[in-house]
Amino acid sequence: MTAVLGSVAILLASVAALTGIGLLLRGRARRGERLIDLGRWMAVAVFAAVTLAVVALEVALVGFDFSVRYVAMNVNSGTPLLFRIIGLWGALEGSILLWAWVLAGATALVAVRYRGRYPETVPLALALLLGIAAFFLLLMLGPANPFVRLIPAPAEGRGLNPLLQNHPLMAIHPPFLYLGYVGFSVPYAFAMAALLSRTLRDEWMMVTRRWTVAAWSFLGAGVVLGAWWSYEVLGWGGYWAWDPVENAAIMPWLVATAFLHSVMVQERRQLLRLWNHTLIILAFLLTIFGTFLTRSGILGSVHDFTQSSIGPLFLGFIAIILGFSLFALIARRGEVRDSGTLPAVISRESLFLLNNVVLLSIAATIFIGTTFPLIAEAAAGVKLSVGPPFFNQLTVPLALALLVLMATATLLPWGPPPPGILRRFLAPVLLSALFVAVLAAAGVRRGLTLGAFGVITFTALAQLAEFHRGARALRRAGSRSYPAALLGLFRTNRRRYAGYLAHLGLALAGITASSAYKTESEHTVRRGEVFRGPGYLLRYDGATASQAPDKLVVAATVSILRGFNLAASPEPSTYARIGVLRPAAHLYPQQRRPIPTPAVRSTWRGDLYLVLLAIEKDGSAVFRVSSNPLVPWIWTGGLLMAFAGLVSIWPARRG
Amino acid sequence: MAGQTRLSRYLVVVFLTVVPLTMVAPLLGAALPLAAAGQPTLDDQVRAIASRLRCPVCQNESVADSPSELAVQMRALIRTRLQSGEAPDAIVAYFVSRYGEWILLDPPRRGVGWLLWTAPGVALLLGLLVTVAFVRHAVRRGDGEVRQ
Repeated sequence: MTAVLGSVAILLASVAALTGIGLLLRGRARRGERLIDLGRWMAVAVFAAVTLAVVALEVALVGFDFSVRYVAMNVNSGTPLLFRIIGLWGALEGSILLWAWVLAGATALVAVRYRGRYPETVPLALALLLGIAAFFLLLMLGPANPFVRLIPAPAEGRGLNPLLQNHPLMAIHPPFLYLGYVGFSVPYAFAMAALLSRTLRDEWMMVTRRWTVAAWSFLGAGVVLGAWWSYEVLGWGGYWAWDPVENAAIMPWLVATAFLHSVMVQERRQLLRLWNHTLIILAFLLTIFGTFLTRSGILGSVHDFTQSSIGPLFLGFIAIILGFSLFALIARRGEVRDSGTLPAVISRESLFLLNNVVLLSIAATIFIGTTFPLIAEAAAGVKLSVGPPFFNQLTVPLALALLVLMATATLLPWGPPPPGILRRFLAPVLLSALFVAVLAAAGVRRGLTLGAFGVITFTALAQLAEFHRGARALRRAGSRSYPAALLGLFRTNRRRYAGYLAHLGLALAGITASSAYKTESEHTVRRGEVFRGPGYLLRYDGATASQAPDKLVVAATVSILRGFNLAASPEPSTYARIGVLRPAAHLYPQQRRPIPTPAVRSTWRGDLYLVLLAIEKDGSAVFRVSSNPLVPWIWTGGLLMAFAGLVSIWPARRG
Repeated sequence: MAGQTRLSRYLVVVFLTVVPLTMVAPLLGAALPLAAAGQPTLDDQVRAIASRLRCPVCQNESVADSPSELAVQMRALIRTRLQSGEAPDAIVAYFVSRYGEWILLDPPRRGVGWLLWTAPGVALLLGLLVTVAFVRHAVRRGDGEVRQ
C-alpha cells in the first residue's frame, strides 16, 4: 500500500515539476503573472508530493514492510528504530529520494520567499531548480526506484550495511552533506538566470549570499562529521584517507570557499563578475560530480555502499549542465563586464585573488589525483593508484601558503595600505616565532611540523589581533567592558567577525599534530597481562560476548593504569586505575567479517585509541593501540567553522 | 613621550602573552609523544613502508591501515625483511615485482605518472600568471581614471 502511494507520489512530483517548468517559462515569455503564479504553486506541489514519498518510505522502513525491495535490502527484524529511520539514506535509492526532497524543499522556499520579487530572474531560477529536481525524480522512476516491490514478500530482510548501522553519527552526517550539496543549486540557478536574462548586475549574488554561506557551512559540517564517523567506525585510527568520496565532498567546499571571498571583491570593487559566475557554476557541477562518484561505484571507496547502473545517466546530466553553463558563460562573456578597478597592487583585494588561485589549485590537485587512475587506464591502459602520499605532498604546501595569505589578508585593510601598517604584523609574527622556538626547545625537530605550527599560530594570532583591535575601538567609542565589546563586534559587523572566527584554524592544529605525532603499536596479550600504551599502561581484563537484537557483540575490557614505566615497579596492580576502555567487535548476520568498534579516550591533548583486532583461540586478545594527539581539535575546530558560517547569516534582530 | 608609553604598553602586552605561552608549551610537549620523534622504532619503519602500499584486497585502504588478513601478513613480512637488514626501497620493489606498480599509493614520477605530478604545478603557475596580469591591468585602469 505504502509502496503504491510512494510510486504515485514520485510520478505526481515529476509531472508537477515538468508542468511547472513549462508554466514558468511561458509565463516569463508572455509576462503572464497568472502563469508564473501557477508555476510557483507547482514548485510547492513538487515538495508536497516528494514529502509524501519520503513519509511512505519511512512508514515502510519503520514498519518492516519487506514487500518493498528497498526495505528488505536495508532492514531486518533486528534493526533498531533509529537505524530503520535513517535507512532512508543507507543506500542508493533512498539517498536519491533524500536528495530530491531537500532540493524540492529549497525550491519551494525560493518560490514562496521571493514571491513577486525579482520578476526577471526568479521564474527562470525556479525553472532551472525544477529541471534539476526533475532529473532526480526521473532517476527514481527508472533505475533508482525506491518503491520496487517484492512479490511474494520475504519473511526477513537483509539489513543495513553494518558499517552504516554501527554508529549514531550516521544519523546526521549524510543529511548535513546533502544540505550542503543541494544548497549550491540555489545560487547556481540564480547565477544562470542572471546570465540568461541579462540582468547582469550583482543582484543574484546578494539574493543568494545567505544560501551560499548556509550551503558552505552544512557541507563543511558534513565533511567533518564524515571524518569523525570514519574515525569512530572504520577503526583504522585515521579520519581522512583521501578516498574518492571524501575528495568529492571537499572539492565543492574549496571552490565555495574561494567564491565566498571573491564575492567580497565583487561587492567592494565591481570586479570579477565573470569569475564569480564561473566559480558558482563549478561548485554546483562538483556537487553533482560528487554525487556521481559516491553513487555510481565507479571508483572503489570505503564509503561506497551502492553499486548501480545510474552512472551513465549521471554523466549525461553532468555533460548537459556543463555544456549549458559553458554556453551561457561564453555567450554572455562580453556583457558581464567589470566596471571597477583595483586601488593598489598590495591590498586585501589582491590577496583574495591569490587565495582564489591557491584554493582552486588545491581543488584541481584533488580532482586530478582522484580521476587520474580512471583516465590513465582508459587512455593509456596503465593501472595505477593515487593515494595519500601524493595528496599530502602536494596539498600540504599549498595549504600552508593559504594560511599565510589568510593571516596577511586579515591584517591588511581593504584598499591601499595605510602607513605604519606593518606594526599590525609585529605582535603576531613575533609571538608565533617565539612559539616555534619554544616548540623546537621542547623537542619538535621536523622542519615541516615546526613550520606548520608556526603558520597556524600566526594565522590564529592575526585573527585574535583583529578581534582585539575591534574591541578596543568599540570600548573607546563607548564605555563598555571588554567582553561586552567583543560580543558587540558581532553586532556591528557580524559577517566580518564571523569570518575571523572561521579563520581560527583549530582544526588544522589537530591535523598537523595528529599526522606528525601519531604512534601506533600492536599487542597480543593474555588475560590479566599489562602492556604499554602511549603514555599509559593498559591491562587486558577479559572479554565478554553478548547477543544484541541485530548483532553479536564481543567486547574486551581494558583498564587504563596511571604510570609510564613497566620495569620500575614490578607490581603493576598497584597502579591506580584511571579508566576503562571497551573496544569491541560486532558480528552482523549479514556480513562475515566482524566490524571492529574502537574505544577512544579523549582529552584536550588527544586520543588514546584502542582497537580489538582479534581474540585468539587460546583466549589472548590482539589490540592495536594508537595515540592521536589533538584529534578532538579537528572536530571542534571544523564544527566551529560551520557554526561561524551560520552566525554570519543569522538574521539580525530588528528594532 | 607618547611613543614611549605606547612602547611600554606594548611590552606589557607581549610579556603578558609570552608568560602563559611558555607555560602552555611544556604541556604541549607532554601532549605530543616527542620521545618517539627521535629514533624511528621498528614499528614506525614498518608503518612508513606499509603506508606507501595499497592493500590488494581492500576498498582503497593502505597496508598500514587495513585490518584484513593479507595486510596483516604483509606487515609481518615487511617486519621480518627489515629485521634481516633489507633496505626499505628494496622491500617496496619486492612488492612491486609481485603486484605491479598498481600497489604503489605514491605513483612513480615517470611515464604517465609524470603528468600526474606536474599537472597541479602547471595549474598553480597558470593561475598565478593570470592573477598577476589581472591585478596589473585592473590597477593601471584605475590609475588612468584618476589622472583624467
